[in-house]
Amino acid sequence: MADVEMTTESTVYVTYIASTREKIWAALTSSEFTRQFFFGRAVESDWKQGSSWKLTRPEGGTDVFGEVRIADPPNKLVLSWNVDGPPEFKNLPECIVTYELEPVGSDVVRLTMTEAHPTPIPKHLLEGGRRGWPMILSGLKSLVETGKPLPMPVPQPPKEKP
Amino acid sequence: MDKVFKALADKTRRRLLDRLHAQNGQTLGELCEQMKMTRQAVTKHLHLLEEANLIAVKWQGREKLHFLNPVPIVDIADRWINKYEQGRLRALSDLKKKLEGDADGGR
Repeated sequence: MADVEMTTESTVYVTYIASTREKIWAALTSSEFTRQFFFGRAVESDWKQGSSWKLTRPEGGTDVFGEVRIADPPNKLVLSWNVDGPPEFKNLPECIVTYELEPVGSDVVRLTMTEAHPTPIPKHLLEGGRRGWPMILSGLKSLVETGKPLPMPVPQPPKEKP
Repeated sequence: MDKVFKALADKTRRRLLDRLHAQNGQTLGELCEQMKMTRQAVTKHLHLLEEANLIAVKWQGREKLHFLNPVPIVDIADRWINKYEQGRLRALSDLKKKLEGDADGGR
């Protein structure tokens, strides 16, 4: 651990979305939507408190898994977050990801995503999330507001020719 | 979007964002260190950054913590960049960074 900088810092990202909390909740919790803004990944869960949830890669295989800690639709979703990847990620202590949806006026919702690390982790491992999350949230905003996903380089399954 | 451009068009405010990028989740007191200006001036800059949604604020007990929120910057980039350009632009940006270093030279 000598030259690895450790941190317990949190990340807080906020985006304002011209939509309803119900639509944003649906976008966060259904795979047909997450495939369009979460780098092609599909979420899966019954979204009940205490249930398991997972995020599956476009080519198959679990990317992230955890437990639904709080499910209070359409206000708050708290998930434990374990990355199933290379050993340096796999051996990380789980972190907590919280989505909070608050109405701002009658037609705008403030979506806050918080990533909290209860135990110290190496700072360089946070870099991926720091780059990824803003793109994911911006993509979610675009999808919910316009019905179209952002032109993100999302891996697509091969299409069958008619 | 006007608010984002206005907030970014100031060296001090960009410096505050840089400091949060280096160490996220700082209090007003921590952010005032090394800033050669009054606490009131820093508060005013932070307020403009918060208005532009470039900073998210979270209360932790009695402490108000400031977090860098880059989502509006990504929104701006998305507006004028399409998926075919993205890879090439990233390569150019990486090359520029490598050649010039990461410093904000006010360009």
